Amino acid sequence: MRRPLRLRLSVRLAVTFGVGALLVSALLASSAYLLSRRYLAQEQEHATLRQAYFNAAVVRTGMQAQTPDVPGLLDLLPSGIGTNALIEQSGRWYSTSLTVSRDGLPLSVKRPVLNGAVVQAWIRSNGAPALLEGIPLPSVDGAYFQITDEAALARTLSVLRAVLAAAAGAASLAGALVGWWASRRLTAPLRSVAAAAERIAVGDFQTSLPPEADAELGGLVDSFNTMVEALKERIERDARFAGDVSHELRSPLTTLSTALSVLQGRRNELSPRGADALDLLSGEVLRFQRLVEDLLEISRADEPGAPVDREPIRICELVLQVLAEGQYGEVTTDIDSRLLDATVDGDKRRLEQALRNLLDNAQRHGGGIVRVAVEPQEGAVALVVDDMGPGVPPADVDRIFDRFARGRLSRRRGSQGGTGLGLAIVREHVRWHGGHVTVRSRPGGGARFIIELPASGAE
Amino acid sequence: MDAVPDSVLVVDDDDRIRASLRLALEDNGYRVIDAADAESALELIARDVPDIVLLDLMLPGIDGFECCRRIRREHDMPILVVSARADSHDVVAGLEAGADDYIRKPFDMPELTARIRALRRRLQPAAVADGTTELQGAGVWVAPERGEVRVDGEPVHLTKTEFRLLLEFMQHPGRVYTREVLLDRVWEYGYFGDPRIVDVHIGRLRAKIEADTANPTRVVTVRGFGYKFDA
Repeated sequence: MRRPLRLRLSVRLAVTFGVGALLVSALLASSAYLLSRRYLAQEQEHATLRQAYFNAAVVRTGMQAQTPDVPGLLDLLPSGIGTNALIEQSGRWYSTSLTVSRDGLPLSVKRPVLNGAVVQAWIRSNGAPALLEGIPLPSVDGAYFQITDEAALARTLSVLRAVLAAAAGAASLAGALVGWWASRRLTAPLRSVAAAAERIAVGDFQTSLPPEADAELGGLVDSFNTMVEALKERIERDARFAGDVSHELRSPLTTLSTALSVLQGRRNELSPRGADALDLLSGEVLRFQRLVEDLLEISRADEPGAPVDREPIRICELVLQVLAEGQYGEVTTDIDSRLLDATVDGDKRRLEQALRNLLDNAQRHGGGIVRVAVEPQEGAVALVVDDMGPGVPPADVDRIFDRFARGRLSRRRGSQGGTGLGLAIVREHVRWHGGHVTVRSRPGGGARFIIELPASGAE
Repeated sequence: MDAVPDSVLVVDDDDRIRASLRLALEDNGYRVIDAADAESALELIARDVPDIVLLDLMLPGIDGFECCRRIRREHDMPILVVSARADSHDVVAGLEAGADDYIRKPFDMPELTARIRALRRRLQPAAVADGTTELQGAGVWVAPERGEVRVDGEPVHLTKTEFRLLLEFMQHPGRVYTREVLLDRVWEYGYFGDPRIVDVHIGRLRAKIEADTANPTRVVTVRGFGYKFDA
């Protein structure tokens, strides 16, 4: 029933919620990151540019002296850690650091500065981001360049990135969890509806769902319960109808069979043809009578009805008794000695009828009874009836216990007129006792019917 | 069969059933009187007491249960209830109203006549195998041939079936009877009867001979088996 390729609803909802949370948190995190980065970078740019102007002014003043000492000037510059300065004057370059030379300056900065423009740019220096300012000093025919290492900023940003990414991950995980929880919450009534529907499918009409507080889910539960109620009513009505019809047939049938008995008593007064007709009539009235009995029996089984007192029934005694009453000829009986005192809580009449119907079925359609056994099972007693018929085709195994199933089955229709309800009655009565009846192929051919009943007494 | 045929009163509101039963029972040698409702049945019984009553439970006016109770107030002839309804409550209620047995519609004529014969036999004085004329036990005294019963010295009136049941128990005090055996020996049906008949009759018998029906000391239940008479 389950479609294998579709993910379960709860998984799908969890994934959807997770992806949604991931998208939202990733968007928030990345914009937070970008904004912070821009803000931090601008702060840094302003600070270093101010520093650069200041330094450039110092340099210019120094270089306007009579004997400018450019390297000395460089030492004078208030340089922080990671700040390097370069001075160009009339094509000559001076640097505070060996690692920074004019070759480290990108042309795109160097040229406009040398042409008289102030430039600030982000570059990479020694593999780390750095800020480069270039300030032309036209009055001394020079230029001041300053490279500030911004590795600290980069580290700050990478930490921020990591934190934001972790937050986004956590948010999407939380989203997935919320999705899963919500779907469980949402599908809980669906699951209980499904479980209830399954119970109803096997005939348990006492099933109803507990009321649900939520308005939308409550609607589902209410309509489900209403449906169960309607279904139950309908089934009961159908059952009552079958019962009522059969009931109405009782009086005319009583007259028919009583009047027929009068005719049978006076059979010798009839002509041979009349006697033949009487025999046909008698046979059919008898069959009709049985059918009505069986219909009543099964419609009674359908009724919820008043509880019948259950009593402990000694199952082996019952089997032997049913066998003794019927005309089944020689039947091998296997009774497990451990079960001699085993009892089943139930209604003797129903159990007797169930067993009798199975035996009649074996005799009528199964070519005769081979063996009847009482076998122990875990917490149960099994009544086994083996016949020597053709067995039951696998396709019919489930349907053979249906009412009037005979006509639809691939099995040969017996000419000795069963009512078509015998096995259905077996199933109803066994179910009434909380047991079940099955049929399978017997080793060596023929069918094996097994009634399993929950044992009550001594094992 | 006696020179005077047994009379059977058929009470049923269905004319055709009455007509067919009359034909069938007369062919079996019974004298048949019939009534379509309880009132006329009670009138008939007042004038001409039948040997056996065949009573449908579903009657217009006074229903079969009430009719059964009214007959029982004055008569102990066997009453066979004909139940058109299949459910067991009606059956038990009919038996509790005083019927001796029930048969379900539609029935086979041979089955009906077998039951009538069995009921008929209870009309004869009970014969005890060794010719004992009195039995006694647990404060109960029985004279089989006269059909008399005394409990702690007080005379008690039992129906024919209740009497047979008590007699069976008293002949074998201490013996545990299953319902089936009782059906066989008292109702004489073999295994064909409904065990509930036995239970209802045991209940009625207890009501007449036990001091406390909730805690019977004479006819006691053996759970899972049946009943026995504690002498």
